[in-house]
Amino acid sequence: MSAVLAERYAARVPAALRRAEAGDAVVGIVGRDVPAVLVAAAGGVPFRIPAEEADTAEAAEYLGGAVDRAALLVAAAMLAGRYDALRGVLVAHDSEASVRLAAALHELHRRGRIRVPVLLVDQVHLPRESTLRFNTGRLLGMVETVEGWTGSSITAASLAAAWDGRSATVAALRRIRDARSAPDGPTGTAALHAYGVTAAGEDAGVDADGALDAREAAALPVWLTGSAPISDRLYRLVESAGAVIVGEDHDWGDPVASDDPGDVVPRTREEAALAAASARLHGDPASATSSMAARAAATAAGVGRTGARALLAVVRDHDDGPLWDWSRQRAAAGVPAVLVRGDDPAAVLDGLETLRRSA
Amino acid sequence: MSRLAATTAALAHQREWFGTLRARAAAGEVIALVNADAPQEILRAMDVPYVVNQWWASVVTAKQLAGESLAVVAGLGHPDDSRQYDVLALGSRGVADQEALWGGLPKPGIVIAELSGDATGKVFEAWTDDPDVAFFPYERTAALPAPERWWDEVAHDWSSIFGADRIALMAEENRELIAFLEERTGRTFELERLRTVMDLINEQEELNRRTRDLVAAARPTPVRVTDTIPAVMIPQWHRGSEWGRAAAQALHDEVAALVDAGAAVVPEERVRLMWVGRGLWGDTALYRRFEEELGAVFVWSMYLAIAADGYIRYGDDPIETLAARFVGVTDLLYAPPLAPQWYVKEAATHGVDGVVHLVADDVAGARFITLALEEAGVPVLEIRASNADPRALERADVGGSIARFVATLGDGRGEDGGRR
Ligand code: SF4
Ligand code: SF4
Repeated sequence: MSAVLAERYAARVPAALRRAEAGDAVVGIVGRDVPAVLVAAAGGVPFRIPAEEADTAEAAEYLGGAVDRAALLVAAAMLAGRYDALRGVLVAHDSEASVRLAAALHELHRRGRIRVPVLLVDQVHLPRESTLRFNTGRLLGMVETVEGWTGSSITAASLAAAWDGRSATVAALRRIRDARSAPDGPTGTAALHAYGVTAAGEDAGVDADGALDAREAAALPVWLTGSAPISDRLYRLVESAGAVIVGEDHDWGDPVASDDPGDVVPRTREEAALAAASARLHGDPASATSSMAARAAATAAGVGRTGARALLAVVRDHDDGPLWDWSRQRAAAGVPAVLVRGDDPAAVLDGLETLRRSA
Repeated sequence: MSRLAATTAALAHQREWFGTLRARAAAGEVIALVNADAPQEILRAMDVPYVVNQWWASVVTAKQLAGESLAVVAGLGHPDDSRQYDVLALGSRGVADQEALWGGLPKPGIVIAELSGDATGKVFEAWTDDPDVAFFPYERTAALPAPERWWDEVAHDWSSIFGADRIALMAEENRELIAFLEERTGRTFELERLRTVMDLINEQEELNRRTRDLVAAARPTPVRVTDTIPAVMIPQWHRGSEWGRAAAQALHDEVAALVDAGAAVVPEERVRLMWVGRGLWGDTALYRRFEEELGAVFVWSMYLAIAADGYIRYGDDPIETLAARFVGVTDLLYAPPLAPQWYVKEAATHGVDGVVHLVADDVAGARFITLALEEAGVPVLEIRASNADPRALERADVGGSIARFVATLGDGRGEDGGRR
């Protein structure tokens, strides 16, 4: 039942914190580009930290004001001690905001202002051999740090367990992703909840029969692009207005299912790091780290695969990547397209209305 | 005191050089446009004519053509409110009055940039809307926690400051760029040429270092920051040329002569100030006002200082050594703890009484610089504004706050004799 899933989604942060307080080696992750599978292999319970509403005044002093609000919110939570029970926090190099976040948190830790150690996981994104080599090396460094945090080491058995877990998760997420294209498929909100729950380190199985709310048959199928939303508010809003989000390209959605390190269990940490690095480099392109050309191609493919009849972009302040992608995305999508700046609900609803009239 | 001869000479050279570049472009040579944070040395070694994006943006801005350039960008379907400074060059090619822009920027065949921020790569990719233009991107890797006092180590022991794998990545990218350039320009790369270019640069920056040390030690300060900035920056755009080294030598000799002659920007120098962050150096009246009314003089800017401390690199393999120059140069200016400890060092060596810190809200890490200076006992005035927007600065009342800040320093100085 979807109510169960919605509850698990709403409770995923307190649930992870309870595990951490009970002694589990919970490791925080910020961003899609930190491979949870390696964290698990190194003895950690990977938990992806979401942005939750908070007062960001102090965070803005350290990060600068002109930075995506999602990063400010994570910084605010760290400053407030919300994640003090975690063994450490790994921040992906997946945007300018994340780099600022990592640098500030790391310095605040050095100064004793926050308790939890923080590591930037420097993964860069050009499709080149040299990039893959660099990323693999950085992931090996990350593994060493996480082993220090958890007190355990990668073993053949831990690699096998982590890889089996990740394969099961990827398979479950892909079933959800594919189901969303069907006329009686799940709502985007349900899919977002399922992705969110697995990102919080809970088991797959979220796609078991009947777990996902089905959409209304008459809903306008929309492909969502732009900024990665904070919470499920945007999804609820869009889907309360006669539309259904059948796919998206932000990092709390479908793209996480595209980072697939494969079923073959690596024998060594080196093989594991290489597989994880290469999985992300071959995964769906993200706005802040990909070319406009790659993004436009991915939009066209996503719209085609899901049968979306409209393209909606919602772009937050200080999130520049999507603004640049837009002209090529719109041209490539071949369906009516609207870009909304900011996240004013009325503007989003207006945008949807425009799409409905032209779709 | 009048403008430095070195500054006048640098400005004249810039005109002449750009005329030659335009002529070479007209004759069919491939021109490159390169962002300031990406290696230019390979272009120099291969004699590929190039323009630095930030320098060209400063020309567009100085000619008051930024607004029109951004309108051109919007007309191409791209945002006109994102990475505005980076995209001015693209827009400037569509500006009506090309004569105002020194005859206009020739169309580059190659654009090169590091993937800094979320959109720099897209700004350069936008050039490729024109199929004649090819884009070569460099990865931007992130700063590592570094040992203390990097400025003593970085010239030789760069690997321990920036990390061997970051340097290895950029060295590989340098090799890829070489192959890319050989294919696009038909020229051949010679390692010995690059070695010569790297030697010239080290000599140029060693001269800048000596100039900086002269300025740091001189009491009163012999030369205006507004004069040294172009005299350092223009030769920086020509790093690796004989002219660049000669210009650095000329600046050094001129400053040395001023020191020997006991020259002073403000004869009754009462307060020595350091300016951290982007400068408002175009507003000369602002600075004169502090000099005349308050005896307060700015003795430091990051341009001379980072040339002195941030660019010198010695090593056996010029391709790797080049990577070591570029891989972390922005970290040195902004990333904690590398940047904060450096500003503290510079404040001490220059004997400043206070620091004015302009914090644009698109700059990260600024707070840690202020904290480190304050912890070292240096008073800081933090002005939070975006200097891209003059109205925001007016609201921030920069002049008034600095005057009030200087007044508090004057008082403190009477008691402890200043912080020299
Ligand atoms: S290196 Fe480790 S202990 Fe030191 S500041 Fe960074 S996270 Fe903290
Ligand atoms: S000071 Fe250095 S980093 Fe800054 S613009 Fe000049 S060359 Fe570039």
